[in-house]
Amino acid sequence: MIDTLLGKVAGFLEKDFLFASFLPALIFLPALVLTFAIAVGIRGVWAWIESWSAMEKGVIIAVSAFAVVIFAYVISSLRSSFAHFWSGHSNFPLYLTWPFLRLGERYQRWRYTRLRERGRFGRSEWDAALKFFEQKATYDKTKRPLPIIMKWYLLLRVGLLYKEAGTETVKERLSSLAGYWQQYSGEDLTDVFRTIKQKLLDWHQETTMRHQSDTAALDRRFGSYPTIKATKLGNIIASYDQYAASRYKMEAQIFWSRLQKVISTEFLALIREPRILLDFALTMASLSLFYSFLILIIGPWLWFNYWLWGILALIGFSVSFFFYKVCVSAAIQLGEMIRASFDLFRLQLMTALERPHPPTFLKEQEQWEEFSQLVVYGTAKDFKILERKP
Amino acid sequence: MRILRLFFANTFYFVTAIICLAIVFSPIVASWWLVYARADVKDGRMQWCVVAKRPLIKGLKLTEQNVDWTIRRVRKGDGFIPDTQSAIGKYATIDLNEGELLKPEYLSEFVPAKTDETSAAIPVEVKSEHAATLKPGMRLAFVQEQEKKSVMVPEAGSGQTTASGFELISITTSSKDASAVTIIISVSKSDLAKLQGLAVGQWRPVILTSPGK
Repeated sequence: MIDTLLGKVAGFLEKDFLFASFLPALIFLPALVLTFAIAVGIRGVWAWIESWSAMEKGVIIAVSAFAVVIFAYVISSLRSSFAHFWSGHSNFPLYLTWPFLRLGERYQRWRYTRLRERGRFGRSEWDAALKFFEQKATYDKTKRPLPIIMKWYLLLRVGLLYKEAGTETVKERLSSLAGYWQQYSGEDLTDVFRTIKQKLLDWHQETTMRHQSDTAALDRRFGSYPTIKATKLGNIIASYDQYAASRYKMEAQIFWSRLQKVISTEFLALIREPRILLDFALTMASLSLFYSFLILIIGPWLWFNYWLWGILALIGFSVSFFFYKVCVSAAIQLGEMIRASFDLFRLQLMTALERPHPPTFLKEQEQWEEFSQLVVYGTAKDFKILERKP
Repeated sequence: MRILRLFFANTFYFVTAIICLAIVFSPIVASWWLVYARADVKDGRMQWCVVAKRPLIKGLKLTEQNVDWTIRRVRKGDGFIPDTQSAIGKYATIDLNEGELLKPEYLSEFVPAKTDETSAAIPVEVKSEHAATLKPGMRLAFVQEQEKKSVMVPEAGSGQTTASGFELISITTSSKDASAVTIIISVSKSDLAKLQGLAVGQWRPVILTSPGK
């Protein structure tokens, strides 16, 4: 009995609860009290507090602490609702967010398609432009020498080439420049040729790099086209939810709870940090939004002052937006850790599930697919189970 | 152009979004509109202020026992006392009812003077136990405590007074000696000769009439 009670008390002091629920409650409630104290006159409130006897102070502090803990406990139970709301899953309140979610999804689909086009199907055309120029500017040192003034003129023209003009325009200008190789010695034009080639190579490298980063961004910021969510946070969560399925054909949401059993304690502690940060930021974003709405509704009844309540509400909305950005950053970190967990510990899980160690990657995918079928749908072919060593 | 195209492609969602936004913000708009429609709410402000805990008589020195705080709507321009500490120790300059808002003009740092050129305000020290029932406005006589005989009381009609006795202006508790209380009485100039007597010996106040009687 006493052990259970102590266990409950210890639960309150866990880092998860302290940072993700208690700390936001400790910030939110005093902020609300302070706002209304300022509205009715902080001087009087302060004088009233000062008039408390030591015993009254003790009792009031104890009661306030208890109220904060209760409030923290309530917001702790609402954590998943907060996550649903900010990740674009929830139609709260009363389906009033429905059109915003649809608009958000359309916008995110547009972003997804643009990234996919650039990353998967986009390719640098500067390589082709370089080949085109190399074919046109044929080296011939028997031609007449290039006057030095002409050399500087050509270098200036090369300097004026910029990639934003597009490959076709650049090709036209390169074609015009290549005409000089028909008139002057290739030996004298070496510097000009080298400058053009280097410029085109740099552009090619830059564009290729951008396409690669777009592909990586597509993988890190989005799940798949059908799972696109209305918010950035929702898509980042979807991206790491789908990582295991897309790489290993494992159902991440199903296997995550099983995987935690085999993850080392040190690694679990590393995963815990961004998760706590994500929960804290989600709670703060939600409470800041609630604060803004609350003061805008109750405020005028205390004091009809649109500057005071307007500015305070604006601060509340800004704080909410700031913490939403923190959520996105924390979700990216958490996503990296979850991906790493699947990469590092999936084979230990395979062993823990009494499946044989796969000899190849394709065999591993096949085994995960079989097991996912069994766990998710309850339908699976007969599969091999690890032989127990005597 | 692209924004316009985007708008028309999603007209249904945009229109629904605007309607939903209006519904979400309607409690805020309704709240402000209701306040705006009520002049008493709009022109006032909820304030932490001090009120009389019990009926207060002019000249009474305010203590923690007779003032209290409350949150009340105060109209713009109306004075109020923002904390009880600002009221305690001051004297009421008018009679106040229970729950009445204390305003700076109702309080004074000094005993409200009720004397004119025909009279003077004189402090008399009496024992606390004898001053327990005294209230400003009462008319008093003084009895020599040791001799139990000597009675000092101005007669009605003497000086400017129309009633017998000295009028009690205020009562001040001594911060040094808890057993003594200083009462301030109004003495007409024709009775100033009696002051010499009041300055010596122990005097006990005798209530002749209470205010309003």
